[in-house]
Amino acid sequence: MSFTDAFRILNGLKRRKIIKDYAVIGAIAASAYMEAIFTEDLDVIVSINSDEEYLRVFRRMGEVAEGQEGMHHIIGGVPVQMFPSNTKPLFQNTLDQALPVKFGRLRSKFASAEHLILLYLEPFREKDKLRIMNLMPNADIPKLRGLIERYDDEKGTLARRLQELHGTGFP
Amino acid sequence: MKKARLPADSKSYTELAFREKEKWHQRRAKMSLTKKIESLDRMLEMRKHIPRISRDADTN
Repeated sequence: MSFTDAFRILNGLKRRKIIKDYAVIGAIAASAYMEAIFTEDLDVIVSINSDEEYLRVFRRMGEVAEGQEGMHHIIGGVPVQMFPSNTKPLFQNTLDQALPVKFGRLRSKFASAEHLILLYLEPFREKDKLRIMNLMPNADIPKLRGLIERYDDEKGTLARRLQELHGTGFP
Repeated sequence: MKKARLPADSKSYTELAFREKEKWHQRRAKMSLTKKIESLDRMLEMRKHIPRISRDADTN
């Protein structure tokens, strides 16, 4: 049981066209930009175009997985949570702009630091705040500003939260 | 670096220790993704052996 096994299986599912594409988000993706964060699960955005496709993929994943724990499929011994890209425009953009990464003999796509910051600004729990602070030195500020302008709500919640953490200099 | 014998509660010792620790964490952050995933795999494997604190544990 390992993240390496989970990645190997996910890549196999992509090769077999059970899933079209995926991008890693959450603690594992954040670990690429900062000191590795201990986590027990793997969060991925899966390319999905319709609810029918989601049900089909979810069912196939259920057959391939070793088990299910709540919303997680157990893959390679690791709980994997799939977020369908069609449920949120930010998910789709995170997947579209994910960066190719290579580790060992495996390849995958990880969310950019700027997308991870936006994804953490939404729940904005204490652990999310710490991760945002650690990701900020790696962020491309004009790109981050552009993403906030595009995906923030009418009240400017995400911009206000980032300002709260990063001082008045932002955005 | 000059070696000096210092008592464990010395301010110089703790300052040096924290400075070195900070450098160590910076090196960990710059480590390759391969090594980071390997280290997360090891932590995942070891998690079963991490003792859990129980409020009603009998310490006698």
